Amino acid sequence: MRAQSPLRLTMPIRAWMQRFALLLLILASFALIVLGKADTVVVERLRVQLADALAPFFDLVSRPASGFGRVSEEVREISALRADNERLREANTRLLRWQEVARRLEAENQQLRGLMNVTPEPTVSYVSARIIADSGGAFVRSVLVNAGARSGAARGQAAVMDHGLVGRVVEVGERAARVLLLTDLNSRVPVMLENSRERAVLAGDNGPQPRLLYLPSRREAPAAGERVVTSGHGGVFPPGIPVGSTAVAEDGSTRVALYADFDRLEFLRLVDTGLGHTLTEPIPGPQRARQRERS
Amino acid sequence: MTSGLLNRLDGWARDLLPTLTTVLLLVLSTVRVPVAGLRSVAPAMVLIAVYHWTVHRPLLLPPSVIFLVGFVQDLLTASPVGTGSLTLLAVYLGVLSQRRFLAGKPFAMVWLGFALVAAATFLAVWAGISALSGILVDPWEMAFRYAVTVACYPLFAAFLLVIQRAFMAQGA
Repeated sequence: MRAQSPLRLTMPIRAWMQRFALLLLILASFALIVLGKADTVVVERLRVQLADALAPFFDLVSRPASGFGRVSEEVREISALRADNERLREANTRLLRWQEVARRLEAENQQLRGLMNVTPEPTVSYVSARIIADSGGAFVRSVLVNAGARSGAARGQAAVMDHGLVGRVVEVGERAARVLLLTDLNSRVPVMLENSRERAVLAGDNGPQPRLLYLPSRREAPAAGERVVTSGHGGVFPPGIPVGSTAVAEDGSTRVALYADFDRLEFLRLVDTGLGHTLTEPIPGPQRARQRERS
Repeated sequence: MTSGLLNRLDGWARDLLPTLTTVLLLVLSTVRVPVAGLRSVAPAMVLIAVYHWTVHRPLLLPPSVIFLVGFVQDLLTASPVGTGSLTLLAVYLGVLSQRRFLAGKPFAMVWLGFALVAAATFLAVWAGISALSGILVDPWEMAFRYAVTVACYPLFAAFLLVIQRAFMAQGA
């Protein structure tokens, strides 16, 4: 009987310790939330390092997954082959006509620029990257791509798919970079309506169609279907990247139906305008601090 | 002597299974699967793992591991750090307190329990993020994701149960 007494004593202590540990961990979670709000630099560095360390692994694992995706895509495509063919032939004739128009306009444009002595737009180059991980989280719309600083990715670059703008590079590691998608809560992109040249800000709210904010107030809601392109204001994105077309939501707000198909993202092109180094201004505090730190 | 050591190693490896499977599901949930429409509806796999192991083997998935898993999940998904840890710990605490209604009960009962726990979790996360970001986040996508998570629960629970039965038959 005596031999059991220390055990009987330690049991409640251990239970109490465990409960105490749990309480401590919960407090630590709260502390993390506060820390994450206050000091985004440390958190961001951690995030980049983790993404960098896991990039080769994600790269490897996402290959069979993307192969699987491709197979399912192919099955779907084969079943739609005939209709697609028909559609494409029609589109081809239409596009050939457009090509002719574009060539003529380009020539004319060049001539006029020459006459007016316009400053040439900076040349744009691309970095292509494959998406290796998806945030999958409930509230963040971001993806990791397998191109980092080594391949020429830089913070602030626009990420585009063949059809239109997808998002913006927000974090860059050596081997991986994080792209914040247009649909994310924190995404704000200066855009304009292509026809009226009116500026607005495209703001994500985690829904599939981001909102248009700060449209000129004298104007009624723009008609549905008007093209929206990047305005290039703020110097982050090159102007004229197609984004989507306006749509009116049920609640009356003006939204943008994006051209990029967010369900089929696989490869992204990061647009390098060569403006990357003048980028400090439009980006808020923490990033600037980080850049100071680097230099 | 050696067999004793091997036995102990074997025991440790078995005890690590809940942690390993939880980490595996965490990785799985982040890997990109470019199938149309799958993006926004991926089930909350880590939630399933934490719920399952808390019901069946609460001692083998300690709070410290849950905390770390939540933290890594936040980093990987670029969510506000701490929210994942807090959510998962809350789930652990909630399930632990109701465990006597769940452990050893028929599967349908455990599933129903999960539906309730997940509902509370999704609602709390939705409210939390709406508060943190200052915008009322679209609740429908959330509701859809919740439905998918609950519907997928048997699939993942079956996977975890197979592992549990194969390697951890003895012990509670």
